[in-house]
Amino acid sequence: MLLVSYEFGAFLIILAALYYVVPDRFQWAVLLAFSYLFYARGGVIYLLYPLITTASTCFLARAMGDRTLRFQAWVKEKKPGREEKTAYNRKVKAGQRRLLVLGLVLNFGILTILKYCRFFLENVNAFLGLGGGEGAWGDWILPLGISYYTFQSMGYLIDVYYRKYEPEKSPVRFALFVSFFPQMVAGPISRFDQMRQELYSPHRFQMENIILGARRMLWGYFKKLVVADRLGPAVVVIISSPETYDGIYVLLGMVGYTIWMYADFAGGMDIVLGSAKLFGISLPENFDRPFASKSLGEFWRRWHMTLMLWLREYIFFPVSTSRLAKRVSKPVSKIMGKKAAGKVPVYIATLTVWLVAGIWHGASWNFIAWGLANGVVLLVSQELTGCYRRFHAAFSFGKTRAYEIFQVIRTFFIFAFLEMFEYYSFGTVFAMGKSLLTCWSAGQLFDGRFEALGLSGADLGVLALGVALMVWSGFRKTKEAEKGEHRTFFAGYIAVFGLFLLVVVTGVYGRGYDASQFIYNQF
Amino acid sequence: MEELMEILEDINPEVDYETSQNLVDDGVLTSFELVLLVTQISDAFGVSIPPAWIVPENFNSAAAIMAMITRLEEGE
Repeated sequence: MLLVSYEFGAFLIILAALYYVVPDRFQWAVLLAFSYLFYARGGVIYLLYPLITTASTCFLARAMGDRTLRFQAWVKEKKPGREEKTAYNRKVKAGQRRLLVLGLVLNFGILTILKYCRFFLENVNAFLGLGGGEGAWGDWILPLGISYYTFQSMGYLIDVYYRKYEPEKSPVRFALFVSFFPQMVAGPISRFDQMRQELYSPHRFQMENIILGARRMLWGYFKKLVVADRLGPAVVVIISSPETYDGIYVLLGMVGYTIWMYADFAGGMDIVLGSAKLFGISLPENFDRPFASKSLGEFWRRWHMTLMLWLREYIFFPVSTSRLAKRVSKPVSKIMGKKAAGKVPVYIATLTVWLVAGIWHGASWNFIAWGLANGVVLLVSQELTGCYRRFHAAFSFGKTRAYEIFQVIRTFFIFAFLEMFEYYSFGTVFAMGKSLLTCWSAGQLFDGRFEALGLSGADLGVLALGVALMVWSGFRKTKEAEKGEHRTFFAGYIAVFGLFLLVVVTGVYGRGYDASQFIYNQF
Repeated sequence: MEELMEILEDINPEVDYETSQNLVDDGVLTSFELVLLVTQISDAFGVSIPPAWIVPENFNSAAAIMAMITRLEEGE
């Protein structure tokens, strides 16, 4: 079922009616039944994948939890000495590690086979000079949201292994955590300890939740239908023909693509978070005004936040503290000293995280290049931290508002430039960068190529309004966060009505472009 | 504590570690700096910090970091 469809609206109304009528203790079960219904609309067979993930993760986590409980009971009963306790704990941990590895191999194995097998076979065949590589493997359809729910479930399994919280005993209750319908398709990737209370506690009907949810959803539909779907087709024209669209169009493509992607993804997230709010459930935020960031590092702490947190917690920290990182640091320490060796784990972990982030986004060398390019820029920026500090200490304008604005604009363009690696080879990216810097002329906008993008004057006006509203919303959020201001309940009604009118009047419906799809669904 | 303060100041000299109570929650220490800190603590104190221990509660202040080191030294 698609988030942009009348069917989804009807689905939400029926579910909400049922959810608030049934006794409190059955609310989560209603959500689970409707979540499976939601997912099964894409094909009942695809339910098999989340069911395997749910069953395997739940039972393995329970087995790990049982071992922890037995260990704790043994400690309580025997009151062993430190050495005896450590030895027994090590034995328990070894058993739990085997269960963890089994879960990771099974679930990431399914993801790898479904998502990356074709890419792998194509590359092996190309390497061996066999050609092709498609066929049966290539025809497999990826179950919707598999990357999201697999990462979420594996985060849970790792947390239980690290004994951060006790596992959920009931596989049926756990199934809701894996399959909660708004987030299953495109995140946010949540943690079980954050979601347990939200999903399983009773939620009484509150008009405030309905207003907040509806307003958030309408804001999402505005971003998606008014901005993203109007801009998308024009951006696709530019990025699909880099040889035609050079010079100033490289700049337009970069800016347009970035705005399109933000409006599409953040709009989708608003719909997801708003839908959950209708049921009194708060999901974690995925965006925090990323375009107000003053550095790429800050940007990635504010864009797709739940994926970045996942990568930080389950890859960056474990890799940087791993034996391998320490082993690699040792020879560096001998040659370049302790300080340089201390940075080795950071380098290894950063590049691993961005390699995984690239692969997560898609099975192609472009995404891998994009990920590694981000990792390299972040590491260079980290190395230059000392220089920045000295610069800020020496020059007072480094602390002015104007310099902050410069930093924000610089970050936007670094992000937008790196996005090009998702589509083009290194050679094309640098050729486009060169073209942008060398054959730049405003006259290019009037040589007929702009008209070919299919944007009328009215479209440009609506886009300008849409972007201005998104920027204003960002400023408003900053003000709310700084001063603790909140809109009144009455203002909520006006916002819902105003947004509804804006979406209906200025939304794009059916323009030879599949408005129901979101860019981030494909991941 | 003195040794820990030296490490912290080496990583980011602009922070007032005596008074800061939200080093991670407020983003004063980035992930990079956190890992540098973990590596240097491991070397200086001879303890191994498990990934599950790299959480804000253990790194939000110099006192919290010292308490974590003490717990690790005691073999918790």
